[in-house]
Amino acid sequence: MSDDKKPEGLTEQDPRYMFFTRREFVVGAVAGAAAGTVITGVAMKSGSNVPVKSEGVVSEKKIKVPSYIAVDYAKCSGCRNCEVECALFHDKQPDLYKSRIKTYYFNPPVDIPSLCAKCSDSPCIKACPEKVQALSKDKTTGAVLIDEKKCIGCWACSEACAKDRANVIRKSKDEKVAVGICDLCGGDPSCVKACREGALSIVPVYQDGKYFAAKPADIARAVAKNLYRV
Amino acid sequence: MANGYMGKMLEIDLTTKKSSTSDTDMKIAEKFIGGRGLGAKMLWDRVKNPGLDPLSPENPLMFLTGPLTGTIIPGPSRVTVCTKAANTSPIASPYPHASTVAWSCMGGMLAPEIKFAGYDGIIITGKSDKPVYIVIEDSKVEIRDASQLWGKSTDQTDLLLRQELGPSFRTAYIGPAGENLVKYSAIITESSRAAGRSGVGCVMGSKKLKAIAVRGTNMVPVASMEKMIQMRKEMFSTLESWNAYDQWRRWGTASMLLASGDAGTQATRNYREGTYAEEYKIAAPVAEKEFWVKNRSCLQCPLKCMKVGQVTTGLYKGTIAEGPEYETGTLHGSNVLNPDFGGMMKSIALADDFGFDSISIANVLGFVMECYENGIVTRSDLDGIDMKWGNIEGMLAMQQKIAKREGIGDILAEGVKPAAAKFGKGADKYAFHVKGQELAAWNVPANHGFAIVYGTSNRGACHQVGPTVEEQQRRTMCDTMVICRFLYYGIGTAPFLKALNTTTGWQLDDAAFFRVADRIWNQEKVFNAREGFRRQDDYVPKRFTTDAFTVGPKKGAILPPEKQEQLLDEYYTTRGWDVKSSLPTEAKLKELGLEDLVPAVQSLKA
Repeated sequence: MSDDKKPEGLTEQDPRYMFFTRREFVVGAVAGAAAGTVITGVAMKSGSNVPVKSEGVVSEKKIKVPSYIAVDYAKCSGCRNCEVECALFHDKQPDLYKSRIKTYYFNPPVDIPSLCAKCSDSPCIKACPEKVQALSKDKTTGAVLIDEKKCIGCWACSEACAKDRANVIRKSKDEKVAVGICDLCGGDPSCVKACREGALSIVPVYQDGKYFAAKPADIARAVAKNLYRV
Repeated sequence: MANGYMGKMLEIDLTTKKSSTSDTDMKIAEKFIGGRGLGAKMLWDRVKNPGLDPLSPENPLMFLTGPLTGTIIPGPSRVTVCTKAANTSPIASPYPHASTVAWSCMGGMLAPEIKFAGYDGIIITGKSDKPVYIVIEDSKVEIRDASQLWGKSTDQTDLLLRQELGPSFRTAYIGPAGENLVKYSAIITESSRAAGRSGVGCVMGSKKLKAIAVRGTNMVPVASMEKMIQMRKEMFSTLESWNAYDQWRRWGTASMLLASGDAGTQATRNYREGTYAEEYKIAAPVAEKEFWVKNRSCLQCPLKCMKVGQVTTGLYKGTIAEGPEYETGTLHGSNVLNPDFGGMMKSIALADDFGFDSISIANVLGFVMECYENGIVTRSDLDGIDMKWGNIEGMLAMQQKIAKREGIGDILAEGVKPAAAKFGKGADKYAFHVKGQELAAWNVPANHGFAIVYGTSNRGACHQVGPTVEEQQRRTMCDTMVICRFLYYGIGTAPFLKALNTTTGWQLDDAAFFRVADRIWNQEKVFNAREGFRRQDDYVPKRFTTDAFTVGPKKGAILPPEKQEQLLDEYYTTRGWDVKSSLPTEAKLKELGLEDLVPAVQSLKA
């Protein structure tokens, strides 16, 4: 959620402010709660009232507390500049297959950015074999980090993520290491800076992220229900 | 592999159900680059004789990309479908199936995905005996049975393919109109983006090909990644400082709905007038206030000019549709005198669902309305449908008839030119087409440049090609690099030329760049000339020269017949063509490195 929608007098840690963010939206939408009206309200304004971010401008200070990237699905236009900037930051080339954020189109028309939810119980880290320990948690940002040299390509993490979370971890093209885990770019995420639509923002984690680690198709259904009243 | 190109073309023969790859011919690519240009050359090389039936198995259906497609430059994401057109015809020709070249493009994500899958283009030939769809995942190509998709609307097809294949696949498909060989059928992607013009959906339907789905995992090779990253930054910042940037992001092309009426350039009442008094009821401000839900972009484009919405009130409440754009909003609104916003969006949504070219179908509806008003056709001729001006239910019912080719729909499915010939009684006065392709939403009498735009376009009436030779060269390069013109307006020629050189490692200068455009245009022109098209086919409908506007700020505007002659004379002269016949001269073809076309042109009768 971008700042212009932040209710007056509330801090980012305030649960009432958090109501506007992705986790609550998805939880709310899936549970059929009132979050839908919020998203619809945002959606009706998205044509005219959009903050513009210029590329390359350092918009946020580096993350100092465990955080995740919140998505305002109503604002996403599906341009995939987040994917491109993610790939450029990590690999210096636009290998979109390896992007840690992916944007999918669904019908009825919704665009769903999908990325690691930073689940606090980290089933991916737990799944990584004890003698391998290729995955760890960044103590400052809370992001999951992968040591590609240690990864043996057993896909236990990928299976754990696919089982009941966002399903973002996949095999690399050569099927040697796991790819797709968001490392928050070390604290200053490229995708958030690249988004001109204000659809992505960094939000401190205040509750278990696993609740919003939904699969793109499930998010799409919930978003469509709220945007279009279908 | 040459930089910018994946180096391979995927060929699929639907008769034998076999696929193969061939190397992209770099000698040809350097002369014609990609998209529309490559398509024109490949069509000429594959269609050896004039008069090929566009619906025959031999007609290739080519989905082409450009060298910039799939790189980090914004804009080149328009897949261009090239084939021999299903909907055009000359005034006189020895060949019963004579038609023009066809190129038809659409935005979205399909073009980059074709590159990521490892191809510069997909060429489909032959004809399947049963409905099929093609699934391409990198080098894996499968032709699958499409009986469960056949007959489905484009929206349902999109949904079913997504459910079956997942969201990583990018798809394109036809609707019932294409299946039933309606001549002006579209190919659709992302449920409402259309390669609408030229009847490419009809050609796809003739091959019994319902859909293609593509997924790729590769990267496009470029000469210098470092410089590309720099170019990307420069292009975005140029675009952001463009004074029309915010306007495009907010309104898309819909901002022109009111502006065009004010200028007297809007198609109104089947092109009879240039301004619609009730336009304010259906234009962009209404859409923004009552309809639009979200914006959509092509790959990396910050203009997000695609607007999607849902009708919130009235009879058609609940309808989800894309638009109105300038074209669809004018033709389903002003041109059929329909002041009801919800009804207009329903008509647009239905046109997309059936898989029509939204421009042509609404032009056809306006034509029927004017014929009906003047007693050329009666209600019983129209199977009981009351086609009075602005009757939405009539428009919807007629679309259904046409998509299924039932009764009157079978005649109208051929387009306004053949339908007018069938109706007789002077119906051709109300048939607004050039070379058999229906006019788009820009009117002519108050905007004489459009006599050249519609008249000289090599695919029949088309609003995209530009009113002067110079502008036509620029736009040909856009189509050839498969760049969107909206974004090109904000960035300009020089950065894209630089991007082309940075991607490919070539060193084209301005002159060489525009010589490519000239070459492409002449290549297309010679194809058409061989089919029998001449100067007489380059005139806009006669009423523009006989009946002046009677209302609006441009009341009295008319295209004087001598003005049209003068414009065409000047145009052919600038092109280096024979003014009398419109055929390219030997000197011109040689100048452009098209020596191989000289014998073909010399054998033609002026």
